[in-house]
Amino acid sequence: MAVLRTEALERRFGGLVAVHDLTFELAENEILGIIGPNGAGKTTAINAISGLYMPTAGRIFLGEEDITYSPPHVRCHLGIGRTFQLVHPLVDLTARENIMVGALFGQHRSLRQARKTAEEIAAQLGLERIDRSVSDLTVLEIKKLEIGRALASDPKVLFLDEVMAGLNSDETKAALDAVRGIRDQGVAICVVEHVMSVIRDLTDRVIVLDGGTIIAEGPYSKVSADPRVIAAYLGEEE
Amino acid sequence: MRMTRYLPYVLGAALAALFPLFSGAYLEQVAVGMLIYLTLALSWDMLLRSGQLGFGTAGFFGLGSYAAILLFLNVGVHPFVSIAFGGVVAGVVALLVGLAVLRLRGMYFAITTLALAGIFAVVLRNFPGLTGGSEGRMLPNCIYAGNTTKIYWLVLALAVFTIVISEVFERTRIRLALTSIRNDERVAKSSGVNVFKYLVFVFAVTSAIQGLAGGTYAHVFGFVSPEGSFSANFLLLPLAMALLGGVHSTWGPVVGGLVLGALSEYLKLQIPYGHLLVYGAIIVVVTLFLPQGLMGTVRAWWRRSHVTRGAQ
Repeated sequence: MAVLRTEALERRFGGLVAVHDLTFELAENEILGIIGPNGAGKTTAINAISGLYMPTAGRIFLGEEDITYSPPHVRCHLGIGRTFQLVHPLVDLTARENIMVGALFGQHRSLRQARKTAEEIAAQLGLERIDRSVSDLTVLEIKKLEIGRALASDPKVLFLDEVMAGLNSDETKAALDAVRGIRDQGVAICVVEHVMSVIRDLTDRVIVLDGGTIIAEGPYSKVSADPRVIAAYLGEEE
Repeated sequence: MRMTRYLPYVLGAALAALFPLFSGAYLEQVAVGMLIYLTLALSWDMLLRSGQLGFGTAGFFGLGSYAAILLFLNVGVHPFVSIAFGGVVAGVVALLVGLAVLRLRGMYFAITTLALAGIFAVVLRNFPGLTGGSEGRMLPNCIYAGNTTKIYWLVLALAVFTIVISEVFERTRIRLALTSIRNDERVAKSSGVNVFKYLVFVFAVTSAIQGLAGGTYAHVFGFVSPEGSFSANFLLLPLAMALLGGVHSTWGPVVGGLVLGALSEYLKLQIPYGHLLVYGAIIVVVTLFLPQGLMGTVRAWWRRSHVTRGAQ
């Protein structure tokens, strides 16, 4: 049974078709990778699914529910969590308060419950001294913070948009473990990533986007050998 | 522990309440003006905490003034009831206006709200039978027959009420909602914050406070007029106060209100109308050199000195 399903999803910006005919499913406990060259429509697809852009055609289902035209905060309540490609910490809040936002508004917890949830999630992600201001956090800590905020809203599906970008190899390893831990709690995860070793090590299945639509799908070992994928990344051989 | 934490507030409130015992009528009158402007400064800041730069302060102030005075003159209710009515009218109008204009952001929202004072004034001017047209309306008597001590307490109650509302904003989930909207609206939405609902709510509440302030002011000075009640002073002075004291908190605008209120009264005596120049200069100087305002600068200094001490 699919947790999330899109049917022929399309998003245009005027004459530009950023995403079209995007049909895919995300199964329970699955880690799905979305890869593709720059401008392939990966982030647009996430924005359309999380509701920041309304789709111009197609359908999105979360479980049985049609969320195609739900506003973003409603999608969050229903179980879609996400991080952003460029980190967007809430700079006037502490680390704890950043995570609390997800629990308070995604799950409508009380302040006290949210404070506790933030502590638990921070501990799970290995984020320490959470009463610090965001400006005192390292890049890795900010990435954990973003994941924590999304996690605090108790999502069924979590979109991670290039969370590994900018991390060194030890940090990446720590982040991979954190993501697997989240999956083990029963959250389906969709990662957009440019670091191929991350995709190889982390995902159960990969879809490859180019020009706004899917050109290949399958386990990493299969799609990485697909000539269309190689062509999309490296260009056609003359 | 609990006792000592609340001691400064209790002392401050007691001092403010007992002020007429040792101030004399002149200082009382000065304080009345200060507290009205301080209320406006705080309400302006409460909306700013959501990242929305509202310029509707004078508009809702004037609307509240008119609503209060017209109800009082035509229906003859108790002044308090008419002041409350001023707040309700301003709040309801803000709610309706907000549903439309809170889809705008930044400069567009600011300009639209700035236009409100002009629109309200034109509308009121064109119903001379009810509103007195360009002349406005006078009250036969000011509230409490002009007893400055009672007036002072009334206005103090208004300011304390606003401070309490502001602290409710600061100590509940409202602060996290507004701060997240201000810092990054997309993150707020994706984290489940109903951005539009919160913005409409804050706009309506802060405008209602401005309406209450307007109703009170009109009863204290006994008149409403298109020029007087919608004067840009009710926007610029509160704005300068909040900037001077430091935005995004309760105590910044309060401190700024007290400092600038006292300063402007002094300057009014020294150079009549020159105080307007000084407001402008303060906005420029504070924006350039003290972007955090007085309270923000003090807080940053306090934090720095504590951190260094902790490190040693």
